[in-house]
Amino acid sequence: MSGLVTAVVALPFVAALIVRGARSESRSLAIGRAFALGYLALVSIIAVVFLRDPSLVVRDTSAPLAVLHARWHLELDGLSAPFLPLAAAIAAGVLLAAPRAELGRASVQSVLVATGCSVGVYCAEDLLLLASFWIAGLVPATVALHQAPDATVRRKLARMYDAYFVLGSIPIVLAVLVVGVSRARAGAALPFDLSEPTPIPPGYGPAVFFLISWALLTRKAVAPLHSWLPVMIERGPVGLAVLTAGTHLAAFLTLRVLVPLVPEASRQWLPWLSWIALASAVLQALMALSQRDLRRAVGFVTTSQLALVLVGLGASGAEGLHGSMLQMLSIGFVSLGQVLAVAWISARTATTDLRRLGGLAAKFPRIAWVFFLLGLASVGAPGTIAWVAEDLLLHALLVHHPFVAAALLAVTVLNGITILRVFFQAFFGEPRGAIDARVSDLRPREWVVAYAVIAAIATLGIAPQALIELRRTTVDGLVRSLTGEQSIHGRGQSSPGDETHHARIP
Amino acid sequence: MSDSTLAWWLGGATVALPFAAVLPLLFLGGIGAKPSERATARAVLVLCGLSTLSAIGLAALWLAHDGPLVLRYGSIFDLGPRGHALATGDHGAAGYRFEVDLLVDRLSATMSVLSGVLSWLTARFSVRYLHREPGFFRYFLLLALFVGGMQIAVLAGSYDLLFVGWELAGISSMLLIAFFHLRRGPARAATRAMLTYRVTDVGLLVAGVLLHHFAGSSGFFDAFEHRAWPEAQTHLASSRAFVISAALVFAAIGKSALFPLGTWLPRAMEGPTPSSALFYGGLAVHAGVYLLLRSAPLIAASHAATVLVAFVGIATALWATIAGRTRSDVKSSLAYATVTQVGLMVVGVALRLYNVVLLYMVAHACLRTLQLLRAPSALHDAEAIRAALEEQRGDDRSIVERLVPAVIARRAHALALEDFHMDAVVERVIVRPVLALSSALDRAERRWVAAMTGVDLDAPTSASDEPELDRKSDAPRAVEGRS
Repeated sequence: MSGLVTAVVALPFVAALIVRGARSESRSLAIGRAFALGYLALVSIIAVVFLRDPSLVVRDTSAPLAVLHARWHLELDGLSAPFLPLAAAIAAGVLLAAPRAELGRASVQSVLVATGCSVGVYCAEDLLLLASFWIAGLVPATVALHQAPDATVRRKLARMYDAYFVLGSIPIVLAVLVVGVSRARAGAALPFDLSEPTPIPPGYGPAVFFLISWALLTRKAVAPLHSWLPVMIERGPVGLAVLTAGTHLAAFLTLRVLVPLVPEASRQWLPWLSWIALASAVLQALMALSQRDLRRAVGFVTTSQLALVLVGLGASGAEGLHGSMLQMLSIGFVSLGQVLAVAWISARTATTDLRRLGGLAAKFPRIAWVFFLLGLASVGAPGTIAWVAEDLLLHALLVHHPFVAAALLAVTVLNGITILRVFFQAFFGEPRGAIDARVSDLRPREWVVAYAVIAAIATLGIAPQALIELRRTTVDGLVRSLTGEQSIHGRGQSSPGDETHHARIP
Repeated sequence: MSDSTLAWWLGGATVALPFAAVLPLLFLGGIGAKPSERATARAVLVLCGLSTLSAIGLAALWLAHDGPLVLRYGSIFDLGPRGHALATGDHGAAGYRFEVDLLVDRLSATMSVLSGVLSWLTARFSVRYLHREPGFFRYFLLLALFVGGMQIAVLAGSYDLLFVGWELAGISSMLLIAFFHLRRGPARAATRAMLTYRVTDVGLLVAGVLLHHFAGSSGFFDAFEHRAWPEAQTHLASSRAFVISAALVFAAIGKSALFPLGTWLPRAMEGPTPSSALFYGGLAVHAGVYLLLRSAPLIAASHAATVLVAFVGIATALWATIAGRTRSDVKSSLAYATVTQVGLMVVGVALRLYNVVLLYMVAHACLRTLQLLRAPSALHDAEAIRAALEEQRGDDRSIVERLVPAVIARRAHALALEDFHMDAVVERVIVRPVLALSSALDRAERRWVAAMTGVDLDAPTSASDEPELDRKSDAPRAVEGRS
């Protein structure tokens, strides 16, 4: 299987190059779509193989570089395998169903590059490599915003995005340096490699934790470092906004790097990270409540839900971790569908301002259904994956952290109210303004994507056990790292009143 | 085929058949291939009818069986082993497992048959009532969803599964309130119902999780000492029983429009009359009472919980009966009358008159459904009766109304018209402060973004901000007459 993981990571970049050389805009889009569908099929097959054998690990390595002692080390395992179809599905969904105005050659390229970078982060087992993909993944959005015509909102937003780009990139570079230097001093042969057994010397742990946390809080748009993401979803390029929100690189970084690399510091400080995330989720849910723009409301709800993922990770029991991981998939699919739905409305009515919208259900019943079903999926209605995730999170938190659980419930209630309120405002009531008769409801490629997303959400919501089994080993290991205990299979073998399992959030 | 196997199939059919109508209709509606009125109605009537027959068969099997039937259909997810933990009494160690169990006992069998029969009759009535209505297809789709949700809720063997049915019934209820979606009124009423449901449903979720942690299972049969309703009991400490009961009462307050959050119900009459009859006269409005009856062992285990239930019931009955007397339209009057009776049923739960309440609920659901179905003809009926009797309209005030001094009566009338300011209090204490906080946070956020980028996010989105390839946009952007 040598070269498989490298090929999986490299394919989107190759496709981006082919798109660049395409003869026309329409050809570039056709190539992008064909590739995205093929790539989704490929990584889905890989994920199914991992579902059948959760203990499988596939890796590609090269010899270490002479001076840096870093190497090309990519790996696919039970943790990373389910994320690949998520990233690929987002890319395919955007390229197939985003309004044509969002699918110029440059946009197609940037979506493909961002997908490749996300897959790179999922698969990288060398910190230098991982940091490179992490930072490179932010570049397409920067380029897209800077290439927007002068004086447009997107061009102005570039300044803000750049600031957060730098704010989120510097800490991860510093963290990689600290890890590399400290482990090299401790005699590690491969100081940047995540499989390197040499631990980070104790004194460096808090610094590494702080730096990585800073990077992931910025990337996860946790308050007060959050402003860029809601605006990006509101006014930024559709594809890159969804990829940024839906691929959960920050949460993945927590699971793949932060906890295994600095378990002691994680045990001590991860709960505080969860507190910050919880406060952020509440704050953003509150902000979403009074929004007058459909897209901005979706942006804040998405950002709020993203923060909840970190809350579950901080609960550190198996239920919390499983819940968080399912929540990631849910947000990925739901944000894809919702942002696309808002883009469809915007393309058809030239606005997403709720003060100018109303009665759209009469003209666009299928968009109304899609938006409503996605709204239900985002707020954890039964039969959706968010329902399973929220149920698990609640079980992880309610008894031992009632305050956190209450806040989590408040966030889900507020977000639910926001989504359903904007739905009623935009789709129900008297129609405002006449919409051109030529404007149609969902087109075939749009509804295929919409219903595929809904089907994925429902299928995973009704039958989530395979995903839970796939991640059981990973979750077991993470719980062990966070509690310092042996052999934990779910929460089944933990002692009943054991506070170490539940007392992660102070 | 053994009785247990037959019961397993009948239980599954009762719950699944309505969804066998929902899913194809949802798909066909989604792709824009709506079937004809006749096909839609026939599909829903046949499948819901078969579901009702299954429910009747299941009830018959339960009658022939000695004790409750627990039907197990596996689990949706399972985080780890729990048998050992349950055996040793280490409930906190039980790995969480979402089981799909149905429980057939006196309460659930009665409610399942009632739900099936009333729903089918209402569906049959609706075929003509909604003939050529543009939302005919949507109505029957949502009706089937409601039937499925109700069957899950009443047959559920655990709070976890009950929550699923509870939510599905709530979703269909909300969308049917907004059935005439081109008018602002129904949309506002649906938003109101949605807000209440969304907030109070949390109680049921919390109760299920807490019961799982305290008793090792959120299943009724396991948690209530494997005894049949209404003799079921719990050995949970009084304080724990109170916490869970309080959460359940909160959930029931939302669903059954109890004091102090019940004002959404009269507004919910904006929906089509048949759905109003089924939901707010027959089934959905009694779901809260069903929940309290099902949770009777928990309520009985705590004096504080019993007092709470009694208080909610009495307050609801008093508020609704007084407020209802000031309403002049028949549907609102019936809505308040329904809530009054539901309040009395809640008092009955506190008094532990479980069998009486069950009988009361069945009779009341049937009566109200009929009354609400007849509501559009109420004026005609009244005039016909008056004309036949040649009756002159006299003083039709009640004895109490005649005895109360005019000043107090006027004040009470004004208060009743305003629902005793319940809405105003909720708005002033909760809604306005939350919205004010939300607006303040949003303003600060907008200022921060404006400072960083110079972008005024308050300005409406315009098309010129987005397109990269306007000329190739696949949907014409022309919008006429927008303000």
